[in-house]
Amino acid sequence: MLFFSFFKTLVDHEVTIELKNDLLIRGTLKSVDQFLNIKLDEIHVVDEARYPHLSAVKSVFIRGSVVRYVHLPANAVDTALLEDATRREASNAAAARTR
Amino acid sequence: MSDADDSNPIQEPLDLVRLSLDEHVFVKLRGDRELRGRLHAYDSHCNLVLGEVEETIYVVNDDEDDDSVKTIKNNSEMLFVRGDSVVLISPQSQS
Amino acid sequence: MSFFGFDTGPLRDRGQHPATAPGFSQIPDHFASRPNDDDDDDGIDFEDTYDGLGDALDEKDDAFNDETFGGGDDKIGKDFDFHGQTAKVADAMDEEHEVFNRSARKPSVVHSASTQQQQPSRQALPPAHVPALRPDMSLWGGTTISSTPPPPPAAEIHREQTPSARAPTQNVKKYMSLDEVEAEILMSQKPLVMAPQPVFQGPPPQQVHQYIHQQPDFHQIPQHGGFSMQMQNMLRGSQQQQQHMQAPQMIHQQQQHPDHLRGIPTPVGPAGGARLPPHEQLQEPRNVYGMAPHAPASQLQNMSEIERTRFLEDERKRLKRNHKIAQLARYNGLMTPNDKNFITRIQLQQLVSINNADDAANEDFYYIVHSAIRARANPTQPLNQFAQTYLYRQGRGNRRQDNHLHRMEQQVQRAVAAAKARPKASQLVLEGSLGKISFSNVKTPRPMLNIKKNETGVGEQVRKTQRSTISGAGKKTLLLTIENVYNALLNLECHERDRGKLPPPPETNIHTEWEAKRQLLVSKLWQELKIMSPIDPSSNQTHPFIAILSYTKMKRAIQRIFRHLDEEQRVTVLTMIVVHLDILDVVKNGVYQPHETTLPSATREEIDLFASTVLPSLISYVYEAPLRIVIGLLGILLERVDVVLVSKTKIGLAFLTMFSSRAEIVKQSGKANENELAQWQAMYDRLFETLQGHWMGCFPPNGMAVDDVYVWQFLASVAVGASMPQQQMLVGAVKDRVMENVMASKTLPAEIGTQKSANVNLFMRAIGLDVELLG
Repeated sequence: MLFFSFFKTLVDHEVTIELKNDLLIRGTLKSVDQFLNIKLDEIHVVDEARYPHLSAVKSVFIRGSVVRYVHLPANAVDTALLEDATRREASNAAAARTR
Repeated sequence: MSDADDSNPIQEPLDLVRLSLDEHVFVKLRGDRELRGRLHAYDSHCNLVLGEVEETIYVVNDDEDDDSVKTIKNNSEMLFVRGDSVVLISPQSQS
Repeated sequence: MSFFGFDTGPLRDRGQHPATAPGFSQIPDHFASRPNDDDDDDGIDFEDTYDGLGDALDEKDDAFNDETFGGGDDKIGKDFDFHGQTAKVADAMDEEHEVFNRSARKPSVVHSASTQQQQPSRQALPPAHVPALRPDMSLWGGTTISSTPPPPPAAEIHREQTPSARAPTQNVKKYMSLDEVEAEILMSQKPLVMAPQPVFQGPPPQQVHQYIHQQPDFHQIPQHGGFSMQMQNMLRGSQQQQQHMQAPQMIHQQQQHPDHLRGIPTPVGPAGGARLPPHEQLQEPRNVYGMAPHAPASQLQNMSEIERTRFLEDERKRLKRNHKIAQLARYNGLMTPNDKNFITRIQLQQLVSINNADDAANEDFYYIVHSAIRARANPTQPLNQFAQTYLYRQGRGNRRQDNHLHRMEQQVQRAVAAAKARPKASQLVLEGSLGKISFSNVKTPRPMLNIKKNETGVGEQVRKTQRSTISGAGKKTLLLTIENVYNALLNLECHERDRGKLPPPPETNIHTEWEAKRQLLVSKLWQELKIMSPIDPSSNQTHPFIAILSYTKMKRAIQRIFRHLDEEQRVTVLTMIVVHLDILDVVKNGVYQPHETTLPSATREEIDLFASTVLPSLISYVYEAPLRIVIGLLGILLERVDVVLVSKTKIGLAFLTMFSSRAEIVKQSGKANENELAQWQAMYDRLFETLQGHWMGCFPPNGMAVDDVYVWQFLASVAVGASMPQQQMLVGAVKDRVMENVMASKTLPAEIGTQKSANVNLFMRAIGLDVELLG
């Protein structure tokens, strides 16, 4: 749930999704789910000339499994909080394991 | 989180990754890619959030005569990496 | 088809079909163009293509040829008895039907003569009498009395024919017209009055005519209009008989076709239903569920026709509803109440855990805290502090909601505890059996092996190795230590957040528990910090606390940790840092090398981080500390630390500034006693002496381009406590620097200029001078 929680804070920020097929899509993150499927609005394909497929498309739903990277604005991320959340998640997992 | 005993010894490999939080790490990905950056978050799937990342892509020239490998570098100030591409994570002394 | 004289050539040739129509000329037909020349060769000559294999066929050993083709020996007759053999058995079936019918109902018709009828057919004459091939209505639920076949095609049977002739056909039911039904019923009512048969034939008008004869009561009533009344009268009389006769059949058929019957909303008995007009359905006494309709048959007659139709409608609806209920109830009884309870409890627990704020913080930590921070984060510097208090406050507000959840959670827990507490035998021993049967559970499965693990020993050992190797200061162990610190810190913070969820003060018990838990967590944190690890001067290993402090994440954590420590612990931390001041990474690396004008960026970042995270916490403590503490710390500093080295660094100077300014403040407030003042003075003089001649070393290289405000702050703090000669020495040492700054402040852009001027003024004011005086 960590990254789901994380992406929820990034709703309405502009992000760039890099897919596994090397497609780069820039857009506004509108929604995310537990599988990290992503909905983007007002999308714009980076390097449109090479990938003209989506020139008429405004919104997309991207299946989480096809994402390679999500490029984020650094100022939208609280790294200390993120690290703490990771530690909690790891501790919980460890505690659940030993229980 | 209310366990009294929290000084867990390292039990599984991902515990080692925890030690590298907020440290520079080297990540090898599928598709001949590598990342170097500061690890801010991870989970059991090896999804990562890296800060100040430099990505290196190794490209092999397909020419018959020229067998060289060239690299492409990209930078990102904050990057989420999906775990299914991750091959290995290693701590790295700052270079 | 040419045999019949049809032209078998292609249509195109005959001109009857357009050649362009699809389907004809698309697939090339190689024979299409050929004209119809049957006279000539067909194109394939038999003689040409016959390969002689047919003649070569050896048919000697074909075993069953004689049987198939009737061999050579048997005579083949010309008269084939196609029907004869089967005719013998055909009537047997009819006989069996009759027997059955006879046994099932009152014997009303004599079928003895039936056998006579069959005799002629046994002789296997070609035009044998074929019993009428009509469906046996007894199978389909009709009555024998009411069924009558139309006159058989052979017009041999006359009206006056004996009942015996009718007998075989009476078993067969058919759909009769209204008139025939009437006739039947009348006949059954008055069997002795007249021969039943004559009525069954003839066109309806004849029957009606007869009715009128038979029942002079209805003489006046016109033919068609009086039907309904007649029907009612007939019904009155015939209900009983019909019921009796139909009942056994009904039961039989119900048993046989329950699904079939259920699906039909109208009453059962297709023969009855289809045959009779709608209001004849009252004949059916029972429906599928064995429930008699509300108005039993006897009352039906008393109802008016309108009521009857309404009743029928209701009946239909009821049956439809019952059918639907049956469909829904198909899967009833799959789960026991026990199972349902089990599931319900799980659902309750899920609901409780979903709505539980605690869990939200666990699962959705980043989002919740982030939005909390982002919502408020304007000028608040100690962000973590603020966030914590904010969450703290939030806890209070939601307490009412949490109460309900809390109560429900308690109920669920009580239920679970009760279930657990019930005594449950783990084993079952049956009398006379050898041995015990043990019950296993999902939670307590039958163990395959029974191995006792020696866990505690392993755990302790690991810890020992940790301690022994910590001074070995491997990077891995250091990082592990840091993570353990974080674990303890996060637990503590989580516990602090729970403070808001406690009930109000009167319930002291919970509060003391909470406080005890907090103490425990704090001591755990203290332990993990490794502060109390002894300082071993002879060993060349860094002290663990100092070692972990070299990591960025540890510096960040110090600020949060400090909040939970008490006075004594804080001074301990401070002391530990002071003792190792020149070993601190930020100090050690903060010294400018001879030829470098700037520090490496990483070092600079660390220094800035230290200054922004660790220093503020220490300063906040020192500025509350009594003078003797300051004196003590300065003493330790002068004793064990290379002060000159320290003074060359920003962080080092910061510490010195911290001590001297605090001391001055205490001095000026007049709260210090004589003893302390004297001690402080001595300490100060020692410091001054140590740094004498090294004042300029405090400044970073690179002249006016660097930010040296911290140096001026230090010089100012020292100058305040300086005696006259000390001041003169100080001024003499830094005079050039002062002049440079003043010059620069005039030439450089406005902002930087004023900044420089202000910096110098700090110092100048401290010695009672002012920059202005310098011009």
